[in-house]
Amino acid sequence: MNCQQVDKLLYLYCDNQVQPHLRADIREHLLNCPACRNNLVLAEMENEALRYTGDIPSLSADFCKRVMLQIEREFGGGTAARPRNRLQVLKRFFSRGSNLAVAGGITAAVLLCLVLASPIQLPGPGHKVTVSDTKAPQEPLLAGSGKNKPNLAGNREMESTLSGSTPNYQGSSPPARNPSAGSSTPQTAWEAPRYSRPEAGITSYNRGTAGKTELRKTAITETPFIPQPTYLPVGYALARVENGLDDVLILTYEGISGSIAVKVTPKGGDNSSATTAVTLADQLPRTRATDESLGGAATSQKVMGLGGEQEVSSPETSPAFATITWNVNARGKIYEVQVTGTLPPEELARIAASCK
Amino acid sequence: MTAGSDEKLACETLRGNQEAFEQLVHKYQQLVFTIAYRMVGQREEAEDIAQEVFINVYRKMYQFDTSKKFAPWIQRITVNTCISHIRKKKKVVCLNYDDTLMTWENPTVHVDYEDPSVVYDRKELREEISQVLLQMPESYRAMIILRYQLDLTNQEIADALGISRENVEVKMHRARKSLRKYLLQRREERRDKDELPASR
Repeated sequence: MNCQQVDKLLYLYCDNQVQPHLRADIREHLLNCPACRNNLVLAEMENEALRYTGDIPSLSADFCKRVMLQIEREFGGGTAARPRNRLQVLKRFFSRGSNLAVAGGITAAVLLCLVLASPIQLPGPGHKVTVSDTKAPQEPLLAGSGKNKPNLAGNREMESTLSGSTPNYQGSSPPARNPSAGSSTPQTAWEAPRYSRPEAGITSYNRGTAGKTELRKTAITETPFIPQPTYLPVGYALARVENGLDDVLILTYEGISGSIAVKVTPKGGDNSSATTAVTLADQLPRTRATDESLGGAATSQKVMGLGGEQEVSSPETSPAFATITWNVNARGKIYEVQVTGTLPPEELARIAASCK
Repeated sequence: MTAGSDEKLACETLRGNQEAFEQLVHKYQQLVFTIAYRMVGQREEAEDIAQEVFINVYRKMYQFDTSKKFAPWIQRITVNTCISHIRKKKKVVCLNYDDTLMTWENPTVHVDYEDPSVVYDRKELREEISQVLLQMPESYRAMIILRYQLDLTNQEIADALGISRENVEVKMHRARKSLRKYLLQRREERRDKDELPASR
């Protein structure tokens, strides 16, 4: 053992706190090293001085009495050693400014967590959609003609933040009160779809198909979620409302050249979009355009929208029927909304986008 | 009421028995006062601190774990009360432990190992040590007081301060080194002062 090692252990050696095998080594070193021996003597003298208590004055004779008096004054009767209730503990906690700040921070964090965990969808970056192609179609839009193809290459881009229940679309102008405003497109292309707002409510509709479909007003026990399109091509109006099994609601709009159906399915019910599209399409009255297009190539295009991808599909069996499906979070429930009709996909997308 | 163990007395205090607490005060008043006196160096101040310690003990008695020993708990409260009192008095921000090491633990002073009796006179040494202690960082001061004034083992100090035994050993070594360095520096200064008038 060298001087440095002994120096490290010297105070422990003085206090008899060193391990026995080290003690022997230190003793051996001290025998041969006068410097370390002197160091040890100094340490022992310091120890003796440090242990000296002769200079400590005695306590006041009434110290204990004073303490008990103060306790009596501060805590009253005597059972105040334990805080009486939680309110007292909280009062003590909040009496300190720093504790108040900590409590505020914790509350803010909890509120933030609750907001983040909430199922309510707030408008955010996910809801920002780029709508392209404001170029109007060169020909008037004719329902069920199948001639109007969506123009995916846009001349200018327009960003639009849409509400949670409105799907996005691509390939045509966004629905507006006056679609021709701010556009250099031919007026005729946009005059064709006139806006007819369907009447609100579902109580008294049995138009056009009187006697065929029964109104099931009494079946709806609670306020249902009805996404009604604010935009409809000219000549279309609500024909009937059907409330089927599993709370599936079907709104049918009929016009001169075809039909449009809006189907609302609570999630967990029948939400297989493709088959529903066919079934729904089959329920709609056939038009000449539909019959002409039978056997045509199947069309399917994807539209990016709220809550993910929306599929615009035309089943192989009846390509003139296009279906747009998307999910909506309304009143704490998820609904699947389908819009099916004998219209070109871009026209159908516009109708879907106006659903509120 | 018959005298019981400290832990039993603590339980009795929790049940509202003030006589039990009075017994605890009687038993620990000298220990608490010794720590306080060595920490602050003034009798009245030490008494005030000791009184504050017992009030704190009474207030926090519900926090005491009766399965553990009472002595380390009260020692810890005493040390913490003293340290907070000193810091309030000084009105300084809490000393960083590393800063205290930089100031206190640089053993670069050359120690000339002459005859120890020449270096230290016992009586002088006691006075010097009590003064030097008051200038040491609180953490070192508390450790030295617990070790030498109360004669606690390193493990007991560790229990009282809530740190590991190894940590106590390391800190104690540093504290002693600092103490030695400071004592020798003072001695050097005094020797220089004594020599100056003689040389004139």
